[in-house]
Amino acid sequence: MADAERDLELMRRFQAGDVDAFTELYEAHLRGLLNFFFRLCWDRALAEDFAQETLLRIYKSAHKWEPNAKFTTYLYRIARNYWIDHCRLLSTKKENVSLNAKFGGNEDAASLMDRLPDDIRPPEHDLDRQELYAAIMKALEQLPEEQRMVFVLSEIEELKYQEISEIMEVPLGTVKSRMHTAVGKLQELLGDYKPIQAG
Amino acid sequence: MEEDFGLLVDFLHGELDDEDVNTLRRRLENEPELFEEFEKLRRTYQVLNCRPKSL
Repeated sequence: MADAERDLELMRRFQAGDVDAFTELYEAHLRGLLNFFFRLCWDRALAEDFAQETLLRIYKSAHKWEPNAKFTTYLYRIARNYWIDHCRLLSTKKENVSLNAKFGGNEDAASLMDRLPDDIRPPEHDLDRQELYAAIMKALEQLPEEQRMVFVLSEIEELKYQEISEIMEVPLGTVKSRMHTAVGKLQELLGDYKPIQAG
Repeated sequence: MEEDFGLLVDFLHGELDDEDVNTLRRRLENEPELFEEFEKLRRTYQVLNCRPKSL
């Protein structure tokens, strides 16, 4: 059974009262959500909180769900709305709308590396990788939220533009133009760097 | 040129239909400037693919 069909079947079962079906959905999508939020905030603890909260929202609102779109569209729409709510909350606290402000705009490579969990942080002697990771993290953070979200959903989550358009509730043309602008900016910011072998 | 850049991004993301892919492939074979742009973009993606690993 394809993932999309499996998800729909699990949601149907969950709506009918089968709690194990939700556990299966949870296990199938937790990692994807975690990485989605991680790419937006580069903070594992926050990403874990956001992913859990998104799945909790799905759990609570499952009775309202109708199978008129892919489950992932529904899931990432809730995730995106949660992210926006969080950014709004920060902005009302007089902080920057973006989570970037939390970390400041002038972090050096070493402090950026401190934000990465131990298991994915390059070793201290691997300065090339540290520099490259820091450059990529900074470059992604410099994108406006709406461009970064399109880029993350497309490049990292590997969703199609049409699905991103449904998740973000904007026309397909807007998704394309945000993606093109995002990639153009990333090219400008990362043009002087060279890729390094996977370590 | 901006339009071509978008076309190349869409191509790398598998967002073009077969006809557009074939047209773009022909253009890449015949237009050195477009090919250069494509190579530059491909290098950018190689760099981006070096991002911190997934959790």
